[in-house]
Amino acid sequence: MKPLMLGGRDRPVFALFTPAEGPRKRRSALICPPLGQEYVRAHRSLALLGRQLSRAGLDVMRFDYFGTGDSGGDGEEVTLDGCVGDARLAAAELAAMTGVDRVSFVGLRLGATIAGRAARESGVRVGTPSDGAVRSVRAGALVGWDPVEDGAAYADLIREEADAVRDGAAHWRGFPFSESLLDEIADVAAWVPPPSPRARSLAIASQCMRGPANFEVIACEPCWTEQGNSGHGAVPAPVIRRIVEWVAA
Amino acid sequence: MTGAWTERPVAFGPGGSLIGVLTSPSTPVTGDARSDQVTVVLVNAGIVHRIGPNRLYVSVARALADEGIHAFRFDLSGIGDSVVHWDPSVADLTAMTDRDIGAALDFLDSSDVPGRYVLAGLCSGADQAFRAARADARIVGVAMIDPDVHRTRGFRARQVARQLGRGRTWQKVLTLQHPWVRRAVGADEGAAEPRDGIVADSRDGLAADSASLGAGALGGSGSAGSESTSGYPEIIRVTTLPPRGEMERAFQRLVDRDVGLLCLFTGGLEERYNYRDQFLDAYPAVEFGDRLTLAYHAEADHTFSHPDARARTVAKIRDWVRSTSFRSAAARADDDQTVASATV
Repeated sequence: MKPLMLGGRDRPVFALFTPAEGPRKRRSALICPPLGQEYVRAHRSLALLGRQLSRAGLDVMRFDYFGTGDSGGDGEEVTLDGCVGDARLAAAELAAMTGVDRVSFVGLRLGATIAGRAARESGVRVGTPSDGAVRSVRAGALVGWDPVEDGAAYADLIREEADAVRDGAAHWRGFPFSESLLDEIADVAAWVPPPSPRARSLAIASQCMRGPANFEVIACEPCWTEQGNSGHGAVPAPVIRRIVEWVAA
Repeated sequence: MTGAWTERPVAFGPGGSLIGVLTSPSTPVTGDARSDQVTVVLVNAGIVHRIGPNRLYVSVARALADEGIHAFRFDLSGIGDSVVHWDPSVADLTAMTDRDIGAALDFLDSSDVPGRYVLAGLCSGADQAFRAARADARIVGVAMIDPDVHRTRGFRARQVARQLGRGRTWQKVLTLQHPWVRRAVGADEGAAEPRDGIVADSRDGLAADSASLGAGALGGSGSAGSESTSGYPEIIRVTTLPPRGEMERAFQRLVDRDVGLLCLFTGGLEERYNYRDQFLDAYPAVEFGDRLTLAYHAEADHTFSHPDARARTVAKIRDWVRSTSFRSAAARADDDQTVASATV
């Protein structure tokens, strides 16, 4: 494992690179986390997913959006557009580190939205601060895991359940959501796979969700809600196993 | 970076298996003043990874860096991004935790930061920080948030009073469903009450995760202990709060060593702690003197979900570190003497 700070002084983005174990495939994987408390709950599952993908022969990058996790910035500074930019930067850095430009995107909840947008923009060239090069990546595959299907309802829920509003940000379950971020979330529509015919896509829904007909529904507890009073979510092994098998195939 | 600090992610410890982030002030203290300085090390709260519940540890680290103080947050083995690395010296999860905290201090000793440490942690992190301080002389301060402490008569009196004030309690009493009634009539004879001080270890279930995902899910290396069906050691166990006398002796030894103590309790664990001075009543034999700062944030929940509660706690920890002398009693006496002479 190699922890990194991407993005330079103005927008530091924490990333964790896990190299492939065993026979190395000619593509890598980028994992896009959810936002807010859902990320804290799901962190363990995403860490295990990353390790399992590396064991399946993929170089893996996990990262925190600016304003989240170990990245610079405060929660009030998070925007979906900014998250998509961070995902593209992380994908470009991953390509620079591995020399492989084909990247599979895996996203959970709003991370699925972000992964989808980053994958659609994957042909756009991005500068990577580590070596100064400008490069683009090719979206190899896209996985949406319990994606947010109705952004307007999700934004309404955050506003309604907010514990407090400070400086214009709704604090929901311990994390701030600015008005501009909530407006972006409200525009999130049903998750769609990338338009590129060459890019494969997989949509997975935990049983608790109303999985659309084109989703694979896997019966398990969602990893992004609290399990008991542990402060953490369940680890849905069947979902992780399925994603690893599908991405590595 | 976006503030007056820099943040450096690192892999350290056995085989580089532990992941942490060092937050350093842009203008660290130098020269003679540096000998008074400490580095704060944040220990995982339960199984929440190193950013802490609701990103509390990130906020604490940055608030300290604003005051010129280095802070290091990291994941213990099997939590967050740190993988389990078994070696022959590790008999169980407690030993692994002690080894990991020692590895964090060893890493910091080799870094350009003050080599005297204040450990801080929430919940299980508080208990682990306390245990580490007992064994490692490099630790000169401990900030414990919602540590497990013994119950007292005052605790039980308040607990009963609160239960009597609830309509649900009376409903259960009248329908003979309440445990008091069931015990009185012998219906629960033989059923053990939960024992005070029994706490599940924060990483229970690691082996279960490993088994359900298949061998190697945790990315562990090496081996020790009994093997589970997944090929990894079974590490599920339960830890207990040490007996009251042992806790008193441990606290007294820390005070005698001039270790600074901050004990901050929230109103979020009413079933464990329900009034400000419960800590003092639990350990009456300890002469804390000026080494203890006790705080009770009754309005806060256990993980500081509300932004105001979080901000108040961050400020409390920052101010305590900033205002506490972590020097020895002799050095502090010299300081007092110097001040007195200057005054005269």
